[in-house]
Amino acid sequence: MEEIKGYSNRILEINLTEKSWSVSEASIKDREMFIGGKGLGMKLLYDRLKPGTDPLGEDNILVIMPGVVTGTGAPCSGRFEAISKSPLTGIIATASCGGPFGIHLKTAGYGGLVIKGKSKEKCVVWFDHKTVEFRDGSDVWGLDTVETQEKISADSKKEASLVIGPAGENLVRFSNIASGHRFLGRGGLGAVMGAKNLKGVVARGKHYKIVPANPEKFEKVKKKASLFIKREAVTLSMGKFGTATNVKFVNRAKMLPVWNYFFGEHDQAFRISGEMIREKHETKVSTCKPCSIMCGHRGKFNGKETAVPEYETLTLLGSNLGIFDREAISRFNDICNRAGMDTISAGGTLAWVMEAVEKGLVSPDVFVSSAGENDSSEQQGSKERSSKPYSLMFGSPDGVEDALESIARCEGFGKEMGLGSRALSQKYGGRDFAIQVKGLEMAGYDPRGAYGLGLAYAVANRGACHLSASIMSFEVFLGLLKPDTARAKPQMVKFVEDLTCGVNALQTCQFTMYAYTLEPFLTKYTPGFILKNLMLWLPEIALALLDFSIYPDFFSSITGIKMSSADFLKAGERIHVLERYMNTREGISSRDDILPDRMIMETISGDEKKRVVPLDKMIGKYYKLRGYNSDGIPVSRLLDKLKIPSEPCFTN
Amino acid sequence: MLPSYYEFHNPVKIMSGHKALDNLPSELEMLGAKCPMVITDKGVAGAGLVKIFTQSFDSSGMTIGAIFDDVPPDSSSEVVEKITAIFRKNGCDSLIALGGGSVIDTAKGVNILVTENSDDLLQFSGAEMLKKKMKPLVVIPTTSGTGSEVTVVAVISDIKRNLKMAFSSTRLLPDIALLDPRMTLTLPPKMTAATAMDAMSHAVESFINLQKNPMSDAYALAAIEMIRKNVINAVSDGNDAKVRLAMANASTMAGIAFSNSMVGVVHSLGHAAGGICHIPHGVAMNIFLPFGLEYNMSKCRDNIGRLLLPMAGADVYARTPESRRAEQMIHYLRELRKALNDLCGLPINLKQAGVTEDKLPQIAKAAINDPSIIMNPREMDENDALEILKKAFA
Ligand code: SF4
Ligand SMILES: [Fe+2]
Repeated sequence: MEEIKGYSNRILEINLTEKSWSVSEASIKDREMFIGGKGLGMKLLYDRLKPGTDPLGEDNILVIMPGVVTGTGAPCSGRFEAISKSPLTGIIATASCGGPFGIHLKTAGYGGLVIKGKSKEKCVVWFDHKTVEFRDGSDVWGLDTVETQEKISADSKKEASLVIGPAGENLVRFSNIASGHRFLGRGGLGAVMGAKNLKGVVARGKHYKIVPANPEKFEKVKKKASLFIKREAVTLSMGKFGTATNVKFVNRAKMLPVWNYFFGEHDQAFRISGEMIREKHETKVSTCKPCSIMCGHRGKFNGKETAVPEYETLTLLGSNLGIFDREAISRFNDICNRAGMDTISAGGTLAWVMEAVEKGLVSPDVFVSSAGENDSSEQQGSKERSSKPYSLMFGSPDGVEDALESIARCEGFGKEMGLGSRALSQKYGGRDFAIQVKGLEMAGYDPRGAYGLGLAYAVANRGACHLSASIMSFEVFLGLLKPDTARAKPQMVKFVEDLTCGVNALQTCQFTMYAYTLEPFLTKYTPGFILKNLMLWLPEIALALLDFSIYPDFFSSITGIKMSSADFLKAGERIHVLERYMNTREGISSRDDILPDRMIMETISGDEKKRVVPLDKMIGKYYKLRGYNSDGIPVSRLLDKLKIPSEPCFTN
Repeated sequence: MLPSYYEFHNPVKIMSGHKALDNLPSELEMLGAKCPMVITDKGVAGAGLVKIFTQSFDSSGMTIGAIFDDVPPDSSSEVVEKITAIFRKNGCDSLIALGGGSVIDTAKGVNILVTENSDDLLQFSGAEMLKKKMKPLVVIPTTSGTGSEVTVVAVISDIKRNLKMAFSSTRLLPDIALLDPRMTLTLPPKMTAATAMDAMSHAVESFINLQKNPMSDAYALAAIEMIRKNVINAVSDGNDAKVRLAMANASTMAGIAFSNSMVGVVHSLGHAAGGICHIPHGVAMNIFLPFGLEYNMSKCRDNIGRLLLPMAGADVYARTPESRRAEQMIHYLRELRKALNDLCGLPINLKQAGVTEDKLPQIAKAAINDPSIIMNPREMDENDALEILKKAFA
């Protein structure tokens, strides 16, 4: 087998309009500055995508990037990134996934994949290390994500694919892309493929072997990393209970979304906890590959084995709708996974609809689903679909399946629901309870219980995302940072954003951040109360103490390019600011860095502390730290400092 | 709506608190009792509750005349007679029942015999057959469910003659119901859940049936709310005394409610299933409750809907359209059952409770002959009963 030392700078560029392909080269300089994964992908997009492009038009571009660690066998390295312009938010969307496509892309010899144009016919793209084929996609059009993968990448040992389900075909704005049983979840990237008439992409990899430039150093770093993962408590409980391990903590912190973020806790929350799921559903691991943390699980629901719903699904399609029935939530999850829809946005949208019905903004009569063709026995031979009314109401699982299916099929009111909660609230009113930022529905943590997270949601590049700066980990899970204060939050958010961007560029799982930053000597052995006080009162010093050298060490040992912790963090900052800059060119400014009214004006029902997120107290400071002007725009001095060219060097 | 006429009666003194037991000796004194007899069962004694109980007497100077701690799970006339003999031999003058439903019923039976100075319980069975003022009776429930500490009834079986004797008289009402959480702390999760659902069924049925009245309504609503707020905690963390005390209070309130307005179809089915398949009463209540409500829906939709308020809280109630409240109430009950099932395996259908399908016709027949069907808002024939049983089967 041929070898690739660390990374490949060969970028496969596919033009669907012309059914042509070429290979371009990413520069070494860009590799140093943007690492790989999300970072380098962002730069590739910056150089190709004109501001103002229609996300569902021919000119939108979908970039798929493996990471530097991808294929090396480092812990949790089976991940890859997608970057494009989102049809849900109208700004840049990034998503990360641990399915098998990433490794196949890289071992086919490519350091990135750029998909441009629009196919006239429904198509599937297939490629290996030497060639690209444009195949007919009409026979798989309409199939779900599981069936499609079975059909188009039949040789599952040697091939892996990226596919969309009916939701992506129907341009549901929060449709996703599947690879194996993992997803590029957020931002509606499925519709980007759907709009290009692209049902799937198959990579036939395993042609190259990925070897680190400095194998001894790499082995040393890997050993240390594995050791940390084996020791750190949050990491361990994620392996045991999956992401649902969070339910218990979040409910206790009274920031579990219930009834569209009206309540913050529920006495039935234990039913959707990781502990309960493990006890009742014969769970076993089923993860991204490779992975050492192993948060992904399968289990038995409704009598068959299927994916255990993730924390976000359990909350957004569960507690936030007032539903705690695990089997029902599992059914919702399966519908979304097969149709290829983001469970967070789907759930957030349904919660808005339920509240809108309650408030009389949407008539309950709009909910009608087609009940299929075969159940009208008396009208044999008639092709007419009978329709069946359903209802949507908090606390009741009835109707949710109908609603999800009508969204995926783009039928009736499902067509409107498929636009997301922001679009719905613009049409019907009720923006105050559309729990989204920049068009992206909020994740399953109520920021009124953790102000840092509130700031993070408001300023996150892709919208109300918990993964831009998972600062609730410090505020809630680890108890290292007082949650209900504005103090130290701007510094923390900026730091975690930068570090996270670095991690997503290296492209290892974000969940390694617990083990890699908490287990090193200094953090581990500094007494908790000292660390806590430092973080609150002298955040700069606390953050300077934080040792995350494993990440740059992985980069250097794999690529042979020197990188210090400071360089790594700087690269992260560069990536974050570039994404922000691209968004500001799409019109984003401080006006968009807001939270839903519910988060800043209403308190959680029953909250004795009457907390709301003091966004005003944090955001100015954050802009200053970032080097944005008061409108939230990165100033040219900042771009210069980070060596971000203020005009892209358009290629192709 | 106010009934044109109704009666409501509850003269039982409630003593509730974390140290309520400590006040018992002086209360007994006020009742004129000097030498009480304690009736309990092996489970209660084994859990060390008798010890806690006697300690509260140690400093008071009052002596306990006798302790009987071998009441079987189903109260029988034999045991009642046995205890009566001990009572007389030790010159006791009052009774303390420390236990669950059967202990309390047994104590009520003993009270009949010692008061009437008789050895034949059968002649007092039926309604209002007791004429004399009874001996002081204190009831200290060790489960939170039956409500027997505030009810006018007792059921005792006569094994020799193979019949169940039912007694009903206001004279059977205890003088004091004493609620001390120390007495329920050791109740295992599944029992806690089952008895809680018995209490829940008392409150719910009393609120929807024909003999409901404003007084019983008030108790029922308060009981449901208190159960909802505490039952999950009581089952998941039995050591929380605050929660235990709340459950004891809720159970007593539910008992007062149904003692004055009676129960309905859920109990008819439960009694029948209990008699034929030996399902514990609380388990049966848990299984039948939502189905009973669905059966009654056509007759009392509004009343069922009103229960959503205590069952789900003001926010949920206010946000649920009136036309959907009854369904939501039943849905919330079902969710509660699932939660309890998750926590402790409390069965939610007859199959899980070990009933075989061939028994259903027999249960149906027994159910329509159960007296508790009389006050149910909707009449039930054998077919109806069988339909409900089939739904509740799996
Ligand atoms: S920890 Fe979870 S998300 Fe991360 S790589 Fe492993 S399975 Fe995937
Ligand atoms: Fe009962």
